[in-house]
This record gives sequence, C-alpha cells and structure tokens, in this order.
Amino acid sequence: MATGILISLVLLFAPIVGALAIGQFGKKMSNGGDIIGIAALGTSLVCALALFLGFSTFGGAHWEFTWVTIGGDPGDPESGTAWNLGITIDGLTVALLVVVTTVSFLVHLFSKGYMHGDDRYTDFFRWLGLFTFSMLGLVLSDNLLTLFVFWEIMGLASYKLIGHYYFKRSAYLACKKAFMTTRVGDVGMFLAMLALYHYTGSLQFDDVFANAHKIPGGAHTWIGLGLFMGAAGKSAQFPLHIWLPDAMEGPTPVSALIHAATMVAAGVYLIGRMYALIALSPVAMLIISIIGCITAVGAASIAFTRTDIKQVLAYSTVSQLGFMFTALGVGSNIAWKAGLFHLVTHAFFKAGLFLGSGSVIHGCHHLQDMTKMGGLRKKMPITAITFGICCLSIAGFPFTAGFFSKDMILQALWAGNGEFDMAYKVIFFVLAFAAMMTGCYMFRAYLLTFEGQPRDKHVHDHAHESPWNMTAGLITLATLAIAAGYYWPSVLLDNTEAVLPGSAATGAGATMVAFVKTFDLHDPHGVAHHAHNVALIASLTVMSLGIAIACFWYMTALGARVRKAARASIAGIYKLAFNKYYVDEVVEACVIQATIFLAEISAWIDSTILDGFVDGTGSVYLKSADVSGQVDDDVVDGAVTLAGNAAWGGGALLGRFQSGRVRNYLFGAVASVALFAVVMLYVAGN
Amino acid sequence: MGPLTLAHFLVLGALLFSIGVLTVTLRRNAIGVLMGIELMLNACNINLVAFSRFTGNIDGAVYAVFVVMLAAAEAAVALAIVLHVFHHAASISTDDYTEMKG
Repeated sequence: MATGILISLVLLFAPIVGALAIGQFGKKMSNGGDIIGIAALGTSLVCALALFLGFSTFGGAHWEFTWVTIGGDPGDPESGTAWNLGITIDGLTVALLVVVTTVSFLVHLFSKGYMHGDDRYTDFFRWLGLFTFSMLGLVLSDNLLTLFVFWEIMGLASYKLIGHYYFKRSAYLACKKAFMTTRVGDVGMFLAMLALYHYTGSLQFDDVFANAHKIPGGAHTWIGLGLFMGAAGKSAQFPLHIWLPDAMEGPTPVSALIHAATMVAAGVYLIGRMYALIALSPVAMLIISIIGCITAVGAASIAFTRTDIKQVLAYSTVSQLGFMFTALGVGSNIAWKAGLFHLVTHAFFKAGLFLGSGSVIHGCHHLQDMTKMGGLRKKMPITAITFGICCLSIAGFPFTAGFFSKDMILQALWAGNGEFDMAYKVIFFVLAFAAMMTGCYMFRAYLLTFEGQPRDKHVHDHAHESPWNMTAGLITLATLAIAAGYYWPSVLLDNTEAVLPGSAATGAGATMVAFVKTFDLHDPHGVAHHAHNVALIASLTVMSLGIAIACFWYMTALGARVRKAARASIAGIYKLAFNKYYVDEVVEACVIQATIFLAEISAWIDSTILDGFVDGTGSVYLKSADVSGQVDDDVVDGAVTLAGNAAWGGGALLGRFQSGRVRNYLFGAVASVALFAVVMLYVAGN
Repeated sequence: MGPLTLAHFLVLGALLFSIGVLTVTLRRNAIGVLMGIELMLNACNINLVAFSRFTGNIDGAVYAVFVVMLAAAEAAVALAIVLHVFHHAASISTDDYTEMKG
C-alpha cells in the first residue's frame, strides 16, 4: 500500500474516531470533549498537508479491495461480479482534502469560542466530526457507490447540525427542508447511477470512463442531467436552492462548514469528478451552465434585499455556486479548472466571511440584523479587516484568490467549447453582470456592518472583539483568501492531464477526454489567451463598478437618496427579489401540495380499492367459512351424532329386555329350549 | 295294575323335571331356586337309573352316582354364593338381584 493511501486512511478515519470518542467520553470531560474534535481534525489537517506537499513527489495513488462478490461459484473466488471499493488520490482529491480539513479545523477551533455555554456543546462537536468525515470519505471514494453513501451520511449530519436548535420551530423546519430538498436531487443522482451501472457494469470512476462508449447516445444527456440533479440538490442550484438560505438556522460555524468545505462543495465535486462522462453530452453541459447562470443572477439579486448578515452570505453562496456550475457547464479544460478552482478559493473566502459574521454576531450578542449595526470596525478591528479582505476576494479584487478564479471562469465562458459558443458568450455577459452584483452586495454588507455611523448605540456600546481562537481562524482564512490564488492552480489543478478523470489513462480513457475541449493554455495567440484578455477586462470592470456603486450608495448622502429613489422606481422588482422570486411558494404549491395531493390519492386508492379488495376477500373467506362451519355442524357432526344416537337408542331398546332378574333369563332359556324341542319334534315328526 | 315299566319312571322323571324347572323359574327365594335345581338333577338321576335297570347296562347307574356327587358339590358352592349375595344385598329374593338390568 502506498504511503499516500496510508496517510489518507488516517486522514479519513481521524474525524469519525474523534466523533465516537466525543460521544463516549465528551460529557464527562471538563471541556465537553471539544479538544478531541480539534485534535482529530488537526490530525486530518496534518495528513492533508502531507499529501498536498508530497503530491509532486509521490503523485496520485489508487487502492481498492473487494467488498463483496455477487453470484458465481462459492468455491471459486475468481468467478462472479466483484464489487471493489477503494480510495483514489489525485490532484482534485488532494485540493479538496486540504480545503475541507483546513476549513473544518478552523471551524472546530472557532466553535470552541462561538458555541461556548451551549447546552448541546458535546453533541455539536460529535456531529461536526461526522460531517467532516462524510465529506472526506466522499472526496476519497473511487466509486459512485461509496460516494453516494457518504453523500447521504452528509445529508444526515447536516440535518442534525442545521437542526441544532431543534426547539426553535424555524430550525426544525429548516433542517427538514434541507434534508427533503436534497433528497429530491438524490433521486436523479441515484437513477443516473443505476443507468451507469446498467450500461457500463461498474460504478468505479475509471471503469465507468473506460466503458463510457457503451452508453447509447441519448442516455448520455439523461445520465449527465441526473447527476447534475443530485449536484444541484446538494450544491443549492435553482430550483433546489431553497434549503440553503433556510439552513442559516444552524449555528454560524455550521453555516461556514456547509457553505465552504462540505455539503455544497460535494455537488460541484461530483460534477468535476464525473466531468469526462457528463461532457459527452453538450446539451447537458449547456443546461448545467444555464441553470448555474440563472442561480448566480437570481441569488445575487435576492442578496440585495436581505438585512440579515447571514442571509446575505447565504445567497452569496448560492450565487457563487452558480458561478461554478456555469463554468463547469462549458466543457473545456479551462472550464473544468475554473469551476473547481473557484470552489477552492470560494471555500476559503466564504468560510472567512461566515466566521467573520459569526464573530460579529458573537460580538453583538447574537444580533444578526445589519440595519442595527454600523461602525463596528473600531470595535472589532481584526474581524473587520479579515471580513474586508474576504469581501475583496469574493468581489474579484486584483491579486486576491477570487480574482484569479473568477477571471478564469469568464475566460472559459468566452472561449466556449466549439459547440454552443454563442450561447456561452451570452452567458458570459449575464455572469459578468452577476459578478458586478457580487461586488456590490458584498460591499453593501461590509459597509452596513463595519463602516458609517452606529445605527444602534446600545449594540455598538456592547460590541467587543472575539477571543483568539475565533480571530485566529479569521486571520488564517483571510490569508488563504489571497494566497490560494497563487499556489493552487499551478500545483494541482493546472496539471490537467494528471487530474482530469480518464485523461491519464490510455485506450478508452484517452478517447474519453477528447470530448472535453482542450485548449492550449501556453499559446500566446490561441483562443484561450484571447479569451483571457477579454475576461480580464470584463472582470476588472465589473469588480470596480460593483464596489464603486456600493460605496456610492452606502457611503455618500447623495448615494442614499439615489438608492431610495431607485428602489421606489423598481419597487415591483424589489418586491419580487425580496420574496425570493416566490420560488418557495411555487415549490410549496407545485411540489409539496402536489405531493400531498398524490399522497391523498394514494391513500384513497389504498383505503378504498386495495383495502376494499382485501376486505372483500376477507369477507368472502368469512362467508365460506360460515358455510363450511354449517356443513360441519349439520352434516358431518349430524352423521356422527346420528350414529351415536342410533347406538344409544338401540342400546336403550335392547336394554329393556335385560331386566337383571335371573328367573326371567332362565325362563327365556327354558322357553327357547322348549320351543326348540317342539320344532325338533315337529321336524322329526315329518 | 300291571308291572312297573320304563315309561312309568320316565313320566315320573319328566314330572319331577318339570316341577324343578317351574320351581327354578317361578320361585323368588334363592334357596328355593337351588332346591328346584336339585329336583331337576334328581329327575335326571331317575332317568339314568331307570335306563340302567331296564337295559342291564351299569353305566347309567354310575352316572347317577357322579351326578349325586356333583349335586352335592354344586349345592355347597351355590349355598356359599347365596350366602355371599345375601350379605351383599341383604335379601335372598332373586328379584332383588337386578344389577345386570340394562
């Protein structure tokens, strides 16, 4: 077994062992077992860094074992269909492992401060461990089956964590909604998995890619869309995004984890991992791009209307995930890299933003409404600066991580894939607009919270900076929100040939990758280079415009007047966005009510037709049993009774002759002999 | 009156036997019944002895001796049974012995 595999096994199992240990000993420990969780994640983080730094040395690795063998001769282990499970390590895996462990470690550390004094402190750390474990397992899986298992474990863990304050009605409704909505997507994903197994005979990534040519033409699109449906559920894409903003009901560290490292990253990862397969269908790719684009713009516009700081961040996540899917939907090597690169950079700055908002909420004694904040920069300098850096990163300020990834996304869209280039160019402009909105609403959040005059004196007076274990995470993440842009693409994701699934393989795998449009990134006169120039200009323009508009609106008196006038003039659109485009209501009316209606019909069929059938059968049996009983009583028993009665009556009749008197018997004997004698004499006489 | 012939003895025997049968069937007293049986046995003896005398064959007389002996034995056993039954039923009337009634 390669060293990398051993390290990855330690990395994978440390959080779950930690979670079990917390469950066992946590409540007895003075610190509620948090130290176990932090130590476990620390172990994972060290392992992930070891894999990351050693990746150029020992590269990727693959290890598998036979889990079960189905069918075949029991005596012959070689026969039958073997199901192999295993671990695969490549650039994509390592990139995500580092992201997940880093963010999760910092979230654990942050939670120690943020969740201090919570009634279910120990439980919280336990579920946090399971949550991380499921994400690590998902990333390390070399097949769709275990990926799906971890996918669902993650669903459970998110359910428990979002519903941490289960005694609040809104929290338990939110965790139920998150669980049920992602389940809708899982149906599509599971169907796609079944179809893949049907056509390729395996769920292992390498086998699936190698046998992808066996999938008939039309099925590519459906399989790709099925997988995307699962990804859309997990990664909150329209129209399955509705759970993510509601998931804010969970504690803020959980939001950071969900929005950055786990859960929403899983969907993007799935598409990235299955890229060579989904790219076989340009139609599916275009649909992914369009859905991503709708999500990006829609969620960004909703973010403007939120006053709750966490809600703004939630919609910003939905929007940024839309960016990733839009990029992935192009289907070229740049696009693949751009989407996953943005996943990585987004994880850092969004975790930083969430932990920053957590720090604000903590510092303001659980106040989340930005309209009551303002001027907090002087009270919480570290939080303000780190939050600001992360805002710059998400807006795409030059030389931050977000700048590079967003730039690459726009580049990929402009370059297209040679199939639907015009469509992607249209999407380019829409997405550039969304990028402008990103800068604008993020700075709206920053300015409302940290700059200007305090709007609520009481809140401002009592605000305080958070302890070191919370700010340490903020500083680390803010650093990464800049640094991630430099190191990540070159080391891991740039090496497309080694990373893009199937591309490293020969034979069938090599033909697979041909479906993903490959641009030469180093040709100074190539399409990619040209697209990069366009993207650079576009991203710089929209970034500056976005930030400038936000500063104008929220920092100057004229801007405030303009903003109010503008809001009045687009009151209709504002109301639409404020109500989240009524997607919740539409889902409620179309999906939930339809489901309830369907359930009622089913219940009616069940109670009336099926039960009626069963009841009818039952009553027929009852009737026939009655008849049978009657026959038994009257005919069979009657015969028996008759025989008995006949014997009884005969006995009584004959018993009359048995007087018991000796002389009667003797008289009978004598009379018989006399009669006999008379007969004999008579016979003899003749 | 002419000399005694075999027919006289046979008639006497038949009369005695008939009296015996009637005694057995009609008497209710168990002792009486036993006496009737003795009468019947002795009626047989008369026949046996009569035939023996008139045919000159000694066999009938020997039989008669056996029958007398048998009657004695029978009387002993039968009286013992009657005594026992009397103890049991406190009666010697055969009409009271109706345990075999159906």
